[in-house]
Amino acid sequence: MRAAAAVTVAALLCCCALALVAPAPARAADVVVIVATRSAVKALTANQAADLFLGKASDFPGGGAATPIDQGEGSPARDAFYQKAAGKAPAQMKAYWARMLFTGRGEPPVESGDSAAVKRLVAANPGLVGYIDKDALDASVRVLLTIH
Amino acid sequence: MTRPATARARRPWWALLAALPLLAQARQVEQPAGAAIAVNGFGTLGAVHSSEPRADFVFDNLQPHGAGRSRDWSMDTDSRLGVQLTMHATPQLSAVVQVISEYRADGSYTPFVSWANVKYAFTPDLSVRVGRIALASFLASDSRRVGFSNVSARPPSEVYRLLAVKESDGVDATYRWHDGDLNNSTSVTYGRRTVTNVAGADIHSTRLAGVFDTLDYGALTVHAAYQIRNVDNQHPPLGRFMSAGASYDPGPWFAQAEWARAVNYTAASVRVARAAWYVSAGMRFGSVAPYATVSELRPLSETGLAPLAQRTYAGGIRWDVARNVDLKLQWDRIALGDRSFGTLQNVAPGTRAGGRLHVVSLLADVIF
Repeated sequence: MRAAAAVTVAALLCCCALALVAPAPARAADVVVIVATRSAVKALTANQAADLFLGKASDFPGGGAATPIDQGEGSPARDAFYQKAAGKAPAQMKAYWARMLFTGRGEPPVESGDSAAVKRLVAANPGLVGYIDKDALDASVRVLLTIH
Repeated sequence: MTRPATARARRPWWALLAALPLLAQARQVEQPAGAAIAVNGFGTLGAVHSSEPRADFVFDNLQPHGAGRSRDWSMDTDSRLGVQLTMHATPQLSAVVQVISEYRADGSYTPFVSWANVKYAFTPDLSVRVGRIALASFLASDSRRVGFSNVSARPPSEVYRLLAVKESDGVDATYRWHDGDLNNSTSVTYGRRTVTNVAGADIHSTRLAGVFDTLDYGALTVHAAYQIRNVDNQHPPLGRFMSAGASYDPGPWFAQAEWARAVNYTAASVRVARAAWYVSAGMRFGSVAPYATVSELRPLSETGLAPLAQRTYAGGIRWDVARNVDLKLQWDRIALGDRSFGTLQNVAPGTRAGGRLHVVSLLADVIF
């Protein structure tokens, strides 16, 4: 019992030491969740957006099939979106999709490049939903949600 | 001046292959309904050491040898490789095949099909699967072999060994509903499965029926399962299993607890009831997550046989070294119950029951 406690404390201390040397996450800019201007959807909450991108919901609230598309792995917008909308760090997201994928419950959104590429695809397809850097936003798409 | 142009012209034809996945992805997005095949895999390379030289520490009771008596350090206990093919024929129709190579009851690593099923989604929320299907008996039962998706080295064996049947050949139906932030998924399953134990005997489970429920509310997941089956080496041939569990994972920290109860009969009609539970919690500091687990297995019925009883205190660290790779270091202190060898396998004749042992595990998990 005491040995167990001692090792747990030692483990915690080691982790604190490692956490100190781990690089701090880069400060991310605002991220906006977007759809095509032709889409009937006007707004999403952060939870609704997270449900779509985590595969927990397949329709927009109010109807209509939604197909989420991801940015490439390691993109700051992607990391910021999942951290702020779903409360999940990149490693947690990877573990989440491993669990979903290898239980046949779902597959991650298709990776579709950077903010410019996602914006282009979303603008042309009313069924798609994506997220981009706020700096990349223009009139070709509609903002459903801004994540600070 | 002409050198760069020449170099570009001389780029080998196979360099174009690198661009193909990008084209395929772009097409998928333009037509999300199009046919697609995805290949994914997972693997674990693990080394386990046990302080008990007269018995083996194993992953589950289907492994004939492990760490301790057979090997000082065993690579067999946790190492495995899995490959999964997912095919989408239409938005409604999909199929999945998963093949795994791991240390098996016959001592080989012969690959086997862990699942192969076809899924038809009548609506996005109602689907039916036919084929070999993973049983959702525990919170992490269907991903217990995917080390990367679990925080600890392996699911607590006290709880997860209560059920050797991990898959079922048959049919299941899943219905999910949402209400605000609440997501609920209910499955019913019916099928059969044969498991070969370490004695080389085929144990046939038939008329395997189960109902499973998973509820998500934000960071909270609640899971419950009930299963009954006919087992041909029991008298009466009845096996019953139930479990309940919850996990809470807001990000900076996480906690999980699960309880399970199994009732079986021996061939001599002795009722064997067992219960097990664990509580696990940890924290995340960047890419490093320390965790601690307490787990216990105890008999609920007096059988006259050596009881299956043990309690484990475990502590460990998971370190996500890359997006697809983690390293784990775990220490287990296992206290065996009185007159019990716990979950140890391959016990040397004359070994004294009870006592305690220490287990150290070093693992690397990968997904691709």
